[in-house]
Amino acid sequence: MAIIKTTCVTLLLFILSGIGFIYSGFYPIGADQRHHPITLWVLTTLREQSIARASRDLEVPPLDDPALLLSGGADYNEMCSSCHLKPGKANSDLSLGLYPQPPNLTLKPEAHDHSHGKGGHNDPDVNARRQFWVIKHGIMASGMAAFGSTHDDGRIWAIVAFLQKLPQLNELQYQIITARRTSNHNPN
Amino acid sequence: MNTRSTLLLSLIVLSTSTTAFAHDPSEHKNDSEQPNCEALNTMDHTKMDVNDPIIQAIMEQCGTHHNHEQNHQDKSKKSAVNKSDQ
Repeated sequence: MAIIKTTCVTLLLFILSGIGFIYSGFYPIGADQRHHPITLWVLTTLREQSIARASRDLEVPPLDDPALLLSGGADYNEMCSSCHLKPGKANSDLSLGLYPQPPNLTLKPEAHDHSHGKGGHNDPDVNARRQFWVIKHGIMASGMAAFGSTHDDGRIWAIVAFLQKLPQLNELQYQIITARRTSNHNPN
Repeated sequence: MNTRSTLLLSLIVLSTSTTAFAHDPSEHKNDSEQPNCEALNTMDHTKMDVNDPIIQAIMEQCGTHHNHEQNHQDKSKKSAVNKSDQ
């Protein structure tokens, strides 16, 4: 009986201490602070496992169509490059200031400093599914917005198609591919 | 206006206004940078793999761009010829 009583009191004190800490305001919430390694491991693992589970059944369409690269490239340049960079730009105010730091998508996946889950680095389909899901749904409290409410799936897959080729592009190729096409523009 | 009508009207306005927040590509057509296709002339075309989707995308982009410029030039020439005929 005494053991049960002690356990309950300890548990209650633990919960009250946790609540007290939350309300104390002592937790350093600034993006210029770094997580404790354990917190970082918990958050990173939680994120990767969640994305892997949520995206595992997505069917990847063919992504080699040049038209997809053009429409996805223009969207990437306007929506993503300020955080995820472009050839010839190694950092930006946002890439340096956000925490967690947005991955540099001009690098190949294996060069990123975080895991992409089981098989993520070696399997292009796993990477593509993962990228589609992240663009569509975003990631909580990370600065990554959910674009699914304003962009349809076809447009998001076009950005994914562009991301598969981005690490291979030089500055000139990037400039040409990401320029917004004016073919529908009426010259008259 | 009763509460039910206000609620219905609010729902309609909210659902239609959501699309206005979407990132519309046409907004960027006039202010966006044009593709630097002229720089392609300095590249060694024999090293380009025409089966590579990147090269195909560049050709499609610059083909369109050049055709567009060509159309502009052709129209300018035609209008100049027409004016000189008159």
